[in-house]
Amino acid sequence: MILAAENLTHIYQRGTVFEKKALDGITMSVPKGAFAGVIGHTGSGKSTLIQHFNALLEPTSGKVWLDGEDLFAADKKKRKRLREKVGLVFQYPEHQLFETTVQKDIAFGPQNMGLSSDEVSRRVAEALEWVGLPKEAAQLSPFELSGGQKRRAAIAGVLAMKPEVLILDEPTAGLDPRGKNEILGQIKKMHESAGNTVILVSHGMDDVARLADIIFVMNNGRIEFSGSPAEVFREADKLAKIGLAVPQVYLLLRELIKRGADLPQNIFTAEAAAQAIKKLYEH
Amino acid sequence: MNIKLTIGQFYPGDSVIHALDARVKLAGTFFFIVSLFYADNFYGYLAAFILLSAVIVLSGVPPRLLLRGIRSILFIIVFAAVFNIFFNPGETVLLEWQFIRISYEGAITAARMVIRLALLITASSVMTLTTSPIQLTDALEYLLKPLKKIKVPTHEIAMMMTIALRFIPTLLEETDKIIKAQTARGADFVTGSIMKRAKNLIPLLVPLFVSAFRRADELAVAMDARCYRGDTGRTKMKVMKLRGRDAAAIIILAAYSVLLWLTKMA
Amino acid sequence: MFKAEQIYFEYTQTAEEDSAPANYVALNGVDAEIQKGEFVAVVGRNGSGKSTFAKHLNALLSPTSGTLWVNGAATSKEENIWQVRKSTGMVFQNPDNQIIASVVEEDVAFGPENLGVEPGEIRRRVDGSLAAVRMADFAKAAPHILSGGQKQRVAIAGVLAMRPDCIVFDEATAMLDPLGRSEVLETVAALNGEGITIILITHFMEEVVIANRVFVMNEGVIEMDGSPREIFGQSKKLRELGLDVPHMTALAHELADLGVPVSRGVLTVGEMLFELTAALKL
Repeated sequence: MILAAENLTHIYQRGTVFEKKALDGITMSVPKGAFAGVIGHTGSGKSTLIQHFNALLEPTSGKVWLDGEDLFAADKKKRKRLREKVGLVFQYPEHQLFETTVQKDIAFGPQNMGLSSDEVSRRVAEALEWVGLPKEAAQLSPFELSGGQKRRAAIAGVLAMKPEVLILDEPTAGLDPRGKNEILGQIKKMHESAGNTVILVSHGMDDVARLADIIFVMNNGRIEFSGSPAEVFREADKLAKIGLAVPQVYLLLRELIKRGADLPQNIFTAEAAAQAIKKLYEH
Repeated sequence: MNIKLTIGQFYPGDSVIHALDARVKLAGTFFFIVSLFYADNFYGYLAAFILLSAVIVLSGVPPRLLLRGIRSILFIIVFAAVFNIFFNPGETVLLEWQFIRISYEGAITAARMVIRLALLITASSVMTLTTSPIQLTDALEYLLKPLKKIKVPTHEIAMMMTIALRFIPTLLEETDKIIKAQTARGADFVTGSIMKRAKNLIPLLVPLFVSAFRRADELAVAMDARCYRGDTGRTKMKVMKLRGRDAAAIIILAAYSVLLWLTKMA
Repeated sequence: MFKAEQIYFEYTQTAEEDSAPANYVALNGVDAEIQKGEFVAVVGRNGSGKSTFAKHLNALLSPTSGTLWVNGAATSKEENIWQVRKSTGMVFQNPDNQIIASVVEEDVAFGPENLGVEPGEIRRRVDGSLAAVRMADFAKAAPHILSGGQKQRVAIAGVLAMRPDCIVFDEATAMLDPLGRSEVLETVAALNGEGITIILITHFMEEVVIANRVFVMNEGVIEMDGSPREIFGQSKKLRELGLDVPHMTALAHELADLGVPVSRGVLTVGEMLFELTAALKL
């Protein structure tokens, strides 16, 4: 287990009329090297949860375990070291760009970690490559880049810190279909080559189904259920009840199976579904 | 980091004070504040105190909210009081010890200062607590109208206030978000020398300004798209109309000023 | 309602002080005609000219050359601008940056106030518009406590209160979650049902399905124009233009390529189910 939450509860503005329980006894664990998906609609507690993983919020009660250590029991110095293991990419991360060049902006994180300047520039180059930005972009002002490129530069700023756990909150929001597919593809590729743990927070079911090997479904500050995509989408009716959509391919197969078609249910992509249906058709 | 802001706070309610025309409240508060400086004896202050207390009771605003307002400027009140007590070169000396010298006149001036400031702050708090920011802006625009003749852009000032009020919560949220995002990248906003901390604010301030300008730009386009062209040919959904209770409020204020005048004559 | 004849739009931008100003062509000869009551979805990559085109419909931008007529009035003429903006409302992408007042009903009143509508009538329009987008319960609320979908519905009410013939949605669902998106889309469909012309600019191919006409924009021109079925039938071309097709259409193409007899024009799960039930003899 690289990351785990134990009975994690968070109450905002405790003791005032605005008191709100954002997390209500979350217990979950993410295996090392996993590609996890967290889904839930706005206000389900997703953002509050991931902020605890980086110690940006302190739990009202409960614990967070990071690589076997209690994040909130650790002293200041140790906590800082633990936090560096978790990279957090917020929604619309391009809104946090501030430096005069892309190079300097990406270097901000690694520099704060106290790395040597050689190491920092090596990491910047590596991060640029991961997100698919050309080398020449490094010397440009981040504000000169196009929308999609800004997003990549901002993600690179977190990748350069080489976190063991990379958490991304809606990394493709507002991008066009090609930009979206490219970024997801790069995240997947990096996950496969670097072997780090990735947590993708999203309300885009189809992306999560395609990429994740474990899914946590959040609702009202709780983990409603979790498991492999096949296990989670089996609860299609429950998902619909809490306002989450099931991948269309899954719905189609379910209906076909109901009508007597001999098809597997654990398929989420058009390509795989087409192959399975073709096989059945040819029989 | 926790940011708390009490600017423009409004305590919703349906008391008679809430229902008063915002223009009457704004002008009335202004008149009351002036009266505090016109009054020069304790009977006058007593009259002011009674009037204000009655208004507070009628408004239904919890007194602890008002005390909070006073607490926030406690420093200024104490400073003014201390300054007057110690540095007023009065004739009648009450106490003299080494370089400290307290005169009767000094003590009186200090007491006056404290009473005036406390009443002033409480009165303005009652007004902002019982008047929604929008009504306040409208009232201000109306009362400033005469200044338009001398080319003061009163409509624009009111519109700026409206937009500022609208965007304060949005920008606070944004600030919080940027602080968190940069903290996640190892930024440090809380430790270090003042110089270092000021430098560390750059990763917060640059994105905040960029975002504020982007918002301003988009808002301007959105306002254009909705046919905004200053106050040419503009109407208002809510027409301000004086009612019976507003007339009553004006009469009460008039009676109060006569009373003040009498205390001064006596 | 709209008629565009060879509209071009160019702008100059200086990125850095020492670099030469660069000329950008955002619209490169757009021809289009849209009838009253139509529901047109506009898709295309970022930078394809969608938003620039949308801003022309509301006279926020005026063509460098060519002419755009809105209800017969040319948008390039100064005297027509207010009439055009009154008849074509716009809802923008960022819900936060188009709400002006700190009380919902005051914001909805902003448009009619600018038009100089009489106070009693503004009140009626505000109440009616908020009811139409199902936000009447939030009339006195502060906008910043609302969800994204609710904010966008307030923005729609603000436009409705101006009694427009047409509403342009410039990626108005891009920043919303699925719940917010469906709230807004339901509202959009209902408005179209009442005869309001809709121009919906979006990246979500699933939203395009509900339109009755689709424009595909690329490099400043309308590259494709047809019904959703006609457009998505050409998935190869769409992919070349950097766009997607709805999931079921993608599956239909995969199946057809593999020799399973299904129509390439399938758009929804229901249609696909119908086709496959026949093909697989279920």
